[in-house]
Amino acid sequence: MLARASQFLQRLLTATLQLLLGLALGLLLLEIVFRLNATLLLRGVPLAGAIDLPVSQHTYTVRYSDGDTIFWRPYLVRPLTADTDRVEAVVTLQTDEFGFRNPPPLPAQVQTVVLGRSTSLGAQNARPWPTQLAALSGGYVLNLAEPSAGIATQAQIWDQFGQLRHPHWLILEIAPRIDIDDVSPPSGRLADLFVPLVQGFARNLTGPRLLSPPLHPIYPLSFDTPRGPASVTCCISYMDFLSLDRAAIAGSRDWAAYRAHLLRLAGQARASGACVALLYATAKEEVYFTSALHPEQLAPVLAGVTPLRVGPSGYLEPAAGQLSDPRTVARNALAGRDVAAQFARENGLVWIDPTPLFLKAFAAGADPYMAYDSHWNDQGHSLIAQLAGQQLAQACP
Amino acid sequence: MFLYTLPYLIFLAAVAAGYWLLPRAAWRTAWLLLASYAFYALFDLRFAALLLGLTVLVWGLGLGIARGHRPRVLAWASVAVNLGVLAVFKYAGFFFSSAQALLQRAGAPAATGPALALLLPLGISFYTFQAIAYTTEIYRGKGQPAPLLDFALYLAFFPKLIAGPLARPQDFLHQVSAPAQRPSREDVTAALGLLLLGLVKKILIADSLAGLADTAFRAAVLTAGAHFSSPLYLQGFYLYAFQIYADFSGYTDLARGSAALLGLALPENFRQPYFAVTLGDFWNRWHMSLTAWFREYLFFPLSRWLLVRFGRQHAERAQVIANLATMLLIGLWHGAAWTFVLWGLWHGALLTVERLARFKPAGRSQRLAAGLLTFHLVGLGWVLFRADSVASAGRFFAGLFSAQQMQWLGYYAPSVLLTGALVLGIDGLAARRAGAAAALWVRVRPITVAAGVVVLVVLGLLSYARGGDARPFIYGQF
Repeated sequence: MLARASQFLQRLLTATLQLLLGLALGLLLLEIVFRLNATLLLRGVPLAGAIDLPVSQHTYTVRYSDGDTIFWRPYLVRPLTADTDRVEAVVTLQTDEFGFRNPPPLPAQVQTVVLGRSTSLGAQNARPWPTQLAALSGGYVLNLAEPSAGIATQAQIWDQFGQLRHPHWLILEIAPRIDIDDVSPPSGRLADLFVPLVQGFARNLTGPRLLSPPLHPIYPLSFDTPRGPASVTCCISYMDFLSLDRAAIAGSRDWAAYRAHLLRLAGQARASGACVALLYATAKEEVYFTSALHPEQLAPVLAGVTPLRVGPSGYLEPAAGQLSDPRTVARNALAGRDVAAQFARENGLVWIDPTPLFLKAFAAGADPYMAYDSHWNDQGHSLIAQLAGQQLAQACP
Repeated sequence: MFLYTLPYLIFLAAVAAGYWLLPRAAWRTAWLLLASYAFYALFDLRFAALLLGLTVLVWGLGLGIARGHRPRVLAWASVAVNLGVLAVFKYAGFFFSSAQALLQRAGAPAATGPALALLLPLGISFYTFQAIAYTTEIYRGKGQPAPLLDFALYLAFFPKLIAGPLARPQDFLHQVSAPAQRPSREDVTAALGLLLLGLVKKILIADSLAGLADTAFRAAVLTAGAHFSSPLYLQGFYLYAFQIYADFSGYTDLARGSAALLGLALPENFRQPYFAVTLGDFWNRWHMSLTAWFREYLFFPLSRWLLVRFGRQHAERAQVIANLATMLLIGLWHGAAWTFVLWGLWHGALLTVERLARFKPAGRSQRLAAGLLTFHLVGLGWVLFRADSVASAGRFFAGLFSAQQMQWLGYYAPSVLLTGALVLGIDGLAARRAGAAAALWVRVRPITVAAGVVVLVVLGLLSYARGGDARPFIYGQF
């Protein structure tokens, strides 16, 4: 009896061990496979590579209902009907041999390399700003922007795909509200896969989002501006960052860590002979809160947002209570931008800031953002391309 | 419904359950036939109608041959019907456009009518060839006419319908007519093992890893192809060699595993082809059922006829002609395009050179060097096989040998190394399933099975979340 039980236990142990080893082997194999072929993954997984199919071209339409605000906060957006769901852009996305958004084949040498996030990739735009900059400057602008690419990922992309092309310029998209929270390199394809996988399933299972009734709709939200009332849909996340003033951001250890990464990357680029420029990625909320005549009209946007503070460790952490004062938010709206600008000045980096142009365009009645999406529209990209073209021609020609 | 998808596996389970629950052999045959036609009709109802018509006609002609009514005429009629169906559906567009291009070169005005493009029924190359084999065997007196249902199942049996393997009529029909033996536990384990191996080969190796080869072939379509880096083409060169093998042998494993669950055995189609040391050796290991078909029904009869026609003193010349003709037709069998013609001729020429030189490597180092050479010669052929056009193949070769931007070698090499290690590792294990290796295999099998299942589940979930991007089997398109 005892011998039988012992035999059974031994078998059970062996089987469990084999199963665990198999599981580990499978996961290891998957990790390697995903590193070799990123096109198997989903958007939203941070990668030191491109997620689009290399040497491909596909055309698609971008509608209001594709907006990321509707995806992330469907309960806040009034439903779109078939009549109001307009096509905002028709995009032809062409990829190079690595899957980045560039016309193939890539030349051995390029004039400019762009590192950035989804904003510079411009998946919602027919002609993102790097494409327009190439047309303006006449040089090859290598767009290596990828969604969710934090500074460490961007450094890896620079190492692997950028510096070998010996660019004259490196333009680095910068957005402290996101960047300072995202300085670590990707932990691994599998570990980062969970959230996008759940999202992918949700997309497939829920079907057309036009039908889902929102619980507490606030968007489109109207507020007064100097040019009259504006109606906008915005602010999907990072609103907590607007609770911080310049001193809090500049004094945080998060900013110090990000600064160090940034300096390292800029140093590497300079060492390989490139001039480095920082492009500030102005966000919707920065433009809207700065432009509001009566910021309290934007108060509904702040519902549920927890403010940040510099904690005892020096790192940013959630503070007690809720972010409820729209005037404070309006005052802090450009604090992150100002800290980044000062950093650029101190370190001799070219500073490209489209915020004044965006504010001017918005004041003139032209919104540089997509209607239901937080990214720049074609007009926003045009403004950036022109600004970048002018500044690059002046500095480090 | 591709063989590597979840709906197929559910379908297979349902068919197998129904099959073993039925008490009589005739009912089981009818059940399998029904399932096979349902499987085929899910692709396109017209495909099933064509197969049904051809089945009845060929079966009737077979009956006539066996009864001795002008057997030679009926046999040729049956062959003509099958080749006619193939010619109309598979080759008419190719011949029409080629003739048109030729006429245009000769100064004739360009045709303005619509291009001739017929829908290519899936698996047509496979079931017409099996129908020809059936007719020929009856005509030669080596086989007897089968009952209609059995013959219909021979042509339509769903695991092998789309991409083979090409079963010999007597082998398959004998199994159908014999009383079915319920598979033992070992048989079921072996069948499930084949299914898992097939899925791993298709989903992990062919699609997820070796699928990266597509980049180089897409690059070669662009007119500026030569400016892409050479390592990109090197990746495409090696990965496609692994992809086509993993894809096709994965299909065969799935087909054989499915058939085994139904108590039927399908022939092996591959025997570690990339371990071949000569081209002749390669063709004895690659797509063995097709090679056997061509050898049996074309190469031997043609060689005999040429020998009779020209005499024994011209045996070598006869062999060269038979070689080239067979390989040319094997090329054309794969597809109606000049790239396939060139691929067939490439192999025909290499086989001829090998035979005339009486090349037989001896010794370990010589065999290793010959194996590497054979692999690369086969790989060059695969470029012709995969390229969208002859011009595109030319651009691929130009890029491959241009030695441009070699600094990207480190970027492209890891995928080739991993894929190669997986493909050759699986084959190496299959080749050494004896003695100590077999004992080791028994120990590690549960681990590899668990790993395989994990990999397949995650890749399947990702594919679903991405919105589904099923890639058909390469040989399913022939």
